[in-house]
Amino acid sequence: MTRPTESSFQRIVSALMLVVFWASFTALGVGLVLWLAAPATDAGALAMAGGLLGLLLMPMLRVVWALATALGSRDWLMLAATLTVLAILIALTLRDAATQ
Amino acid sequence: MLGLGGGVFLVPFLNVALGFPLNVASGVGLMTVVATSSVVARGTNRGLVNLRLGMVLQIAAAAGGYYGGSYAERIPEHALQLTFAAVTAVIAAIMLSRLERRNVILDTSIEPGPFGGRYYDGECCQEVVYRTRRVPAALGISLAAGSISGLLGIGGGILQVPALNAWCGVPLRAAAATSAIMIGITAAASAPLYYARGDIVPPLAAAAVLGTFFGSRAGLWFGERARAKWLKILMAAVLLFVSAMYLTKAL
Repeated sequence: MTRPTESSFQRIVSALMLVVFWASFTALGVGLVLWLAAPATDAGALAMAGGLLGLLLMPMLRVVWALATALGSRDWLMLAATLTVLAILIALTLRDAATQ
Repeated sequence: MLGLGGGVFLVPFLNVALGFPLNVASGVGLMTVVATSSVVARGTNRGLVNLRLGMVLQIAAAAGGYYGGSYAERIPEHALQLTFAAVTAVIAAIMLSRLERRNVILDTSIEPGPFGGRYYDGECCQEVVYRTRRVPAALGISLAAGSISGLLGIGGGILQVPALNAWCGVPLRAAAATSAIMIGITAAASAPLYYARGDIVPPLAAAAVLGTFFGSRAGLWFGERARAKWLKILMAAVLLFVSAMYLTKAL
């Protein structure tokens, strides 16, 4: 199956996902080592928190990437579905933030 | 390998074997599901992922994920465990009854339809086509899978993959790859709630996620080389194991 050529926006999102992916796992690894070496310091905990938040960002970026794919291929059904998913995720994040 | 996410083993292990509270085990489980999804999304053959079907089903799954997370503290754990044990046992039986069905069409001139797809199948050594049937049923399953993900932190793939394969005509590899992408998004709908409540313990989550990273990569390698029949047997075994585990916990 031939794949359509990626748009520049898709390439940017792909590159961002790659950076966030490796940065998250690296931060988790480094944070865990620092925490094991010196549990009382904040550096390890901060790195782990950053890694976990980066990891949580990945599915959001994938939805944005799917949005760009749908736009690029003019697939309106997928575009509508992806926009709905994105709207649900944003609504949930805002609601969670409001309840805390 | 099976598009389930690591939570299916990790949550019961942390909860039953190591004695962590269920909310902490579920929170860590959700993080491993997000990690598995990220690793698989990077490593899998993109032709296997049916993004169009995945995004349509994701609407139901994300909504289910949120409500599952919201009601996790209100539903009696006992009732939840019994229901889950029964559902997984039934799905395992269905999987075992359909071992020889591959859901692929070798004639590539056939149109896959609105929710079907095409991919290169290593077992047939050619491109294959599949059609997705019973999309409303798949939406219902995705809603249930999303709720299960939010309630138990195990990732909805345990329901989604066998159901898509057995009832909706999606080949197992395509169902697993599509599910792997979806479970990450579903888990991401529930995980911030757990994180904000302090249920995700960073050192525990970091250790689990790093383990998942290596495990998922190994799973991808094996999954690409194993025959579909054996993947189904493995899936049924996992389902029966999980069913027995939750039944034991509930009784």
